[in-house]
Amino acid sequence: MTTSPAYTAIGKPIGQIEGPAKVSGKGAYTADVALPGVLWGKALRSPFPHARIVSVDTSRARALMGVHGVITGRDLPDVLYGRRMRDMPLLARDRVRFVGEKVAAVAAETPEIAAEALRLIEVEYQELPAVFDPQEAMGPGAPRLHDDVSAYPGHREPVSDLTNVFSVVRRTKGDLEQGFRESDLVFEHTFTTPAQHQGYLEPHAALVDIQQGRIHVWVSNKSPYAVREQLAQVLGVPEEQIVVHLPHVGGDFGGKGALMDAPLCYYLARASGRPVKMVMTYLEELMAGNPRNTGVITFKTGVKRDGRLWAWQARCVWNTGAYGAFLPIPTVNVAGGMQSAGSYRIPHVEIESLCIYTNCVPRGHMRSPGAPQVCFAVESHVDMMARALGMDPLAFRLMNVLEEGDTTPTGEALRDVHAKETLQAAAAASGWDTPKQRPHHGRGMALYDRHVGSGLSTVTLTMAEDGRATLTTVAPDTGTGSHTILQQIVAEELHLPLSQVGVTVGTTDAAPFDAGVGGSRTTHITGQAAYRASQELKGLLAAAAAQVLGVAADALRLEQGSFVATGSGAARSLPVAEAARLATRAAGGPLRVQITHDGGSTAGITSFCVQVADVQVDPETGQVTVERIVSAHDVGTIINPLGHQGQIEGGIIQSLGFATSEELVIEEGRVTTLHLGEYKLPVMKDIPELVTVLVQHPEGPVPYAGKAIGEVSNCPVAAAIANAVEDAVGVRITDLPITAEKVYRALRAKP
Amino acid sequence: MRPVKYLAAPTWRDAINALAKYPTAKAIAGGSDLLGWIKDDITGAKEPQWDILVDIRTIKEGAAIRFSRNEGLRIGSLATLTDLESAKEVQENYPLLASAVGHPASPGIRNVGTIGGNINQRPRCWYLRGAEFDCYKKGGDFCFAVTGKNEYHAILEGELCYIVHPSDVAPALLALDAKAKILGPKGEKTVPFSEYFVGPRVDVIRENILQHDEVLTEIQIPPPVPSSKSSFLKVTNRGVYDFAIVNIATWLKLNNGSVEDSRIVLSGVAPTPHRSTAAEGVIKGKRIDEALAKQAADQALVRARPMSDNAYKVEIAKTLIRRSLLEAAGA
Amino acid sequence: MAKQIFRLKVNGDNYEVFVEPNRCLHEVIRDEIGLTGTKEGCGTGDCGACTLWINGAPVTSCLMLVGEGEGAEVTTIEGLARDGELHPVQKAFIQHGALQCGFCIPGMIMSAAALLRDNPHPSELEIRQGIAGNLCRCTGYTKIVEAIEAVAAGSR
Repeated sequence: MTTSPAYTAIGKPIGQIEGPAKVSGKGAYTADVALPGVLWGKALRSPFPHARIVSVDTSRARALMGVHGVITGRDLPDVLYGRRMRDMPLLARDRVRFVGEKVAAVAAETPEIAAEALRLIEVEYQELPAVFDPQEAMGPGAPRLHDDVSAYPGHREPVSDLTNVFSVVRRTKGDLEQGFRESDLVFEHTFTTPAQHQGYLEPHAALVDIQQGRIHVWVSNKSPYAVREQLAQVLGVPEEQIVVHLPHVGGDFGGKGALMDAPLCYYLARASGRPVKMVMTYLEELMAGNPRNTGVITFKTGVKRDGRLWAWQARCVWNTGAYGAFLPIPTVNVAGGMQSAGSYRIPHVEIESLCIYTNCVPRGHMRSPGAPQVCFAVESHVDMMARALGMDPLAFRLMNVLEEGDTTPTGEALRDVHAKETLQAAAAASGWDTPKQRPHHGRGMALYDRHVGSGLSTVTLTMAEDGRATLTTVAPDTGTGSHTILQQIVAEELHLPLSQVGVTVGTTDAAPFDAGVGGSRTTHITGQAAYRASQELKGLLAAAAAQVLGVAADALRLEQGSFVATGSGAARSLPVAEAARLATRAAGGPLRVQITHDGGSTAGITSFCVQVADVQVDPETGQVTVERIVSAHDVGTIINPLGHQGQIEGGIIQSLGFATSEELVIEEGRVTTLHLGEYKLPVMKDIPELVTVLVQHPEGPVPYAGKAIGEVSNCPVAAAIANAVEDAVGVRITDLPITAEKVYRALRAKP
Repeated sequence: MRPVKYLAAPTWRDAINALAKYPTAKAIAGGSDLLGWIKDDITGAKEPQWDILVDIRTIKEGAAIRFSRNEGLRIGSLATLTDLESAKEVQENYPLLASAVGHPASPGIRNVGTIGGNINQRPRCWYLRGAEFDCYKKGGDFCFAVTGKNEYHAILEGELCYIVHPSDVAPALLALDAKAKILGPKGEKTVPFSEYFVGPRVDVIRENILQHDEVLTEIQIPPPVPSSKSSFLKVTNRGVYDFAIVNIATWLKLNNGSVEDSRIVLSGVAPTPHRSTAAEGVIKGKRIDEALAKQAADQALVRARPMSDNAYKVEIAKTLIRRSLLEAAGA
Repeated sequence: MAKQIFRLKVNGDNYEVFVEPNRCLHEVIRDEIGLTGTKEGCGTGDCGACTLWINGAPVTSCLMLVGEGEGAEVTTIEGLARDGELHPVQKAFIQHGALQCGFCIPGMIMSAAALLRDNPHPSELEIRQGIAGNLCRCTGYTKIVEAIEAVAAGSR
């Protein structure tokens, strides 16, 4: 560890500041918030993947005792919703485009009455031809889901000529044709990945209460200001009229960035004059949440005979479902698509990433959106080429991986690159060169690197007369321990014990703006805001101390909890608590500073992760047992090792599911894995031995020179396992998840 | 969850009367299967909307576990799986059963889930459990598994409907030659479990012989047989907390190391627990070794007709039979 | 649907609730009694977030009707701490980083505390099987096992 021994709070394994609230059951999540007179809302969903709505009759539902509001698409203003491109109605008006699309909603005294009311709503549908496969949907004869994408606010220019394609992003480097001409060998492979549900255990919930003209919103969402902005947009009210409250969020993993039922709660609250709460059932989550994009990823890659990668063409076709509304990035695309040439030095590159409408559940964001899909494809492809060339997959990667001074496949320069060191660390820890112990035991490797996120974050730091500091943030802690990190930073900078630093969560009234959680940004930008706020507060305290000690403030140093006058003469000092008392008295109240930190550009800074999986394959049945995963990470200073390690382990296990057991099965547009019994998240017994290796260099934009960790460890897992399976039994699985059935079939097909 | 009326039945007779009186009444014994079923709103022409739940857990004597050397084991159908797993008389005399009852679901479900409920639970087929699929079992006229995703469906004895029997306990009961005591309006009857389950050829709607107004009240297991050996194995997709891809209960009676008698029963492969007389025939009178176990396994699956996605289950079943025979015989 | 009176004893306190009989036990405890520490994740017994104790045994309360809770001693996560002092399992979960979002945690702790009460020194396999019915999507479970092992070691 290179953590400075001088730190008192940084680098320490501090338990979560929310821990006592969470373990005692006292911490409130959205569904736990109780308001007097609250009604329960529920939505009626389409049973058809594509249909015209002929009529909706709600009269029987309205007449049911205990029902206080019923709304249909016709009762709402003709607005569309989207995190970036606005293409999705709040309730379908004329047409439904996926099984599970909402067509009506009710508010009633109990969830049971609400469910009963839904059964009394009669909807007449006229089925329309539907399309489920993204490749078919792009064809000229395919049913068109949306008549005119260019009419949607926020759409991506230019609109593609291909049917149902609503976003295309291309990147080129070098000259691809020339690259292929100069290559000795060309490899072409296609990989497919399924829809993965985020699997947070807290289903989406929302609660709206309209009080004295203000709209109070509680919602399981990771970015309160985005909620405010998007809600203002669809409700047609000024943003300031909305107050977003932040309960605990029961898991996000990228999936809690949309409004979901919040707008319906508002309209039902207006219709009924009472607060309205909607909590999705898990069946609704699996049927109509916003799962990970299904990918079809195709490569054509040219290499030199000695193994150098020379020309790389990648095409990602994303089945994005019926709407693009859940895709937040400006290109309305899947960011991971831009990583589909991996972390390698390649002179000639062309990448294309297409998002396609189909009559399936709309897709959204999940932890490093697109990256686990493309990393599975890229790192499988790389292994297949290494094997074809007769090279050790490690040697092949060492030969081609990015080094200091290289540019990435999309043309960016990287700095502080530790790819080779991370590869070697993973190889050493996994015994890469040691013989495998048993027959059908395989070892596979995969590599990934990811940026540190950025954006704006605002914190408010106050200090009371008793010297207790309180940091107020409006970026929720979705479980990562981010608020604990803020506590540690303030404690470190102000030389306070942790017990003297509180972190409170404000509503959207508490600050002008905050980007919220996501994109591997929180420890960086909210951390920097907390760091700067602490510095500024320290300045106020120093000024008070300076007066007492009779020196200039800049002659004071904070040492072991006291301001110490430096320079000649006898050492004089004043404890922070005393400075706080004096400063608050002089100020006539608590000290208060507010800092908005703009993370600026973090281009060129990434963190590498190399994983090695050891698997045992039963050659008769095809069953794969993952025995160990070694995960090597190029990291900076670690602020909280408990939280840091938790991100690594949690990410690996999420992708163990992605690799081996999780598939949101969608048949003819219908999700058939509608319970967590069929949609199989890993359980405790499935966990292989996990070994973490840290390749540490104190560098990066995070306070104390650190990097991001949240969206790294989940990316290489699937490819490492697929590569290990081939190593074990000689079959290549190109379609996730890697089930016994697929391995069995591949073994039988083996010549 | 849709509206239901809740009736607590103090006696078996009360339960029977309530069931006989209301065609949409259903006995609930813990509810870990039934409540999920109702919450999912699974209905059809032949699958009524159950709206009266007759709680039979309130029947005091229904959970008794009694053992005697002469009579064997009598298990009240309302005994929980945890009760059985921890019962000394079960652990000592019926290790096969003790192992089987420890496999379903999770401890939290086994603490309320009863042995009767485990035996009578409905299949897990995702088309059957999906409200949108009007399949044979609900009174429809199609089996969606035939053209759809069938990696967990039947490899043996499928016909019209390709569900697999989901119980971990049922194969153990067949292997132990257990009997079911059934109470109905006309009185009591005792039926061997080998005649208890019905496949789609007999009745595609049901999985057992219970009529609407009948209940399973007791499970009777004959006294332990000296020099008998057994094994229970289960293969799942996840490490625990999962339904079987295949499970197997094997019971052997050895005589000087040779198999005098045996019962080999698999679940997860067919619409009913599947007793493999073919495998039993192979091992009869012989000493179990690797080669014989393999031969029995192959013979057991000769009639397998896998669907588009589940041929791997044939190999899993063979592997389990082999391992189970070797484990039981201590070979 | 007619409401009925049900009598529940939760964390030692007696409650009379007047609710529809199709309400599940966890819903009544949450919405009528106001103890929201017991969570609903899946609602179908597949995740364990609703785990509480019935007469000391952990059960998934989303698969129990309110009527089935009558006559039993119900213990929820709110009843685990004694005199304001957290249960050792609760402390260990914080200290060992065994919680992240925390949504699964009340159910997870109810299962873990029952396991350790009945088997104070479980093997790693016994822990993994004993808590099998509680899903966690954040932690990858490793730190949960570590926390339970630490409690077991501490009571040795």
